[in-house]
Amino acid sequence: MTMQPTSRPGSILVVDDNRVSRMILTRALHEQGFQVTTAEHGQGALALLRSNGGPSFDVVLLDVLMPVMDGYQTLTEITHDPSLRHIPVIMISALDEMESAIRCIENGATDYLPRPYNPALLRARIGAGLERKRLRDQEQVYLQALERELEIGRQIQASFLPAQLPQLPGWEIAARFQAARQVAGDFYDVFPLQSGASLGLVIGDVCDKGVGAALFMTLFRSLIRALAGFGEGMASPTTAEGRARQLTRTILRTNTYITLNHAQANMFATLFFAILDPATGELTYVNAGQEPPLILNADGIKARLATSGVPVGLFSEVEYRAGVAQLEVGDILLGLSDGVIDAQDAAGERFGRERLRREIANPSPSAQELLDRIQAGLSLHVSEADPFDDITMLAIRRIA
Amino acid sequence: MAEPDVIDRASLDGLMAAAGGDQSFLAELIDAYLEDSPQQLASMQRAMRGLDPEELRRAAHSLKSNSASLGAASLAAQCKELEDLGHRGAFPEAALCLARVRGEYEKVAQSLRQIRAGL
Repeated sequence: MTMQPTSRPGSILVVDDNRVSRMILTRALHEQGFQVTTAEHGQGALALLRSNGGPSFDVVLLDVLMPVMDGYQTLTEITHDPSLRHIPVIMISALDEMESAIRCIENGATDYLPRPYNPALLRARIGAGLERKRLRDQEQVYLQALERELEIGRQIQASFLPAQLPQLPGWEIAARFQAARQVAGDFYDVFPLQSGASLGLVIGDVCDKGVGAALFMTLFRSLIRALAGFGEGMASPTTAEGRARQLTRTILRTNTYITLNHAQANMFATLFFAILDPATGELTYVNAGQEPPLILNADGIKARLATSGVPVGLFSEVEYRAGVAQLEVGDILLGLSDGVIDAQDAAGERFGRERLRREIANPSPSAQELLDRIQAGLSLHVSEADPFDDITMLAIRRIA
Repeated sequence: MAEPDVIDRASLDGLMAAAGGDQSFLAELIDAYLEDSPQQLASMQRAMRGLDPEELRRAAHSLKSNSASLGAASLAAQCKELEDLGHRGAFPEAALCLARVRGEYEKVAQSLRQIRAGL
């Protein structure tokens, strides 16, 4: 299928079983500068329309009463074929056949041309059909360009997520990420701090979806990485208090940056930011409005890491308190974006916390298995429904 | 002699104008009409014998639109009547109508041959 808008005079397919009628139309259309191809019935027309490498047509002129395959059937075939339905179809109809012309227009024909032909009317109807085709082609070109741009955006955004998760002796880390549209407002991050002495963990969700949220996602992610001192090799806070100060300072500075520079955009993010001491399993965290991460053990939910502050970027005067949790051998820290809880099936019913609790009720042998299990339950629930929100999951399991 | 109003000359002039005033195109068109119409009439006869309403309807439809295009308005009107009769499967009336159509066609054909000779 050619998608370039046509600047040529237009290529017309005339479908009529009647030779005299074909001769008259062909000659009149040639006189008006159009390229003309003819078919004697619907089947011949469809073969021409669908032939690869054959001529591409801008308008089809279609007779109603024909042997082999009549105009109604041909019209139905054209309007039900995704590769053909952008081509305008003008029905040829005698003045005493208005009823059948109307029936065809109700079934997707663009217009009708009364027979015997009037050259001025022929020119006007074909001209309108060509204009319609040109606009449809242009729309396709724009849509494809937009898709390309979004795909580039998706690829760039994907590069803002960890290309691979850090390998840490005694720990297993797994993540899942799925955008509702090409680009997302969700993100997660896992990065070494203080030359690898500790590990930064982030799950974030910028309000809204789509391109605006995606732009702010890159900003939030970069601010947190930079302000947390990623890769700076600065003196490592060895105590929970030291890590708590580092966390709250990072979140506060991120909040200040957003509220000072981007207040107009009204964009904010819920964030869970934690620093893990891999040697001891001590997890210091700040939860700024994020769906509370869970710590799971063999008995089920051991702890919920509840919110301790408002989402980041909402208000200039805010306070965040850090919490401390302990990950023992066999424990899994599970962080989710609210897209998991809010995922809807075709009837609009949410996945919900209860369903999530059932999915995670049985102890899991690995972080990856746990995420796979939740994803399977989620896919079963959502089924054929369009994705409603971005979905992000991060799981960290202490093996030894 | 054919009656002068069997063919509306203005329709033929219109066809020629749409073809850029090309007289040879009009001649080709008349040739095609004179070649195809007997086949359509034979088709109607066959449909009548076989009591096939669909074939009768289609053949009458073709002759109707061709005749209308070439300005044979009266023949077109009779073909339209035959088409409707075929549609209803009213064969006894259709037989009478077909006889009239054949008679009118002879006049049209004669008139067109004269016009063709004068091009």
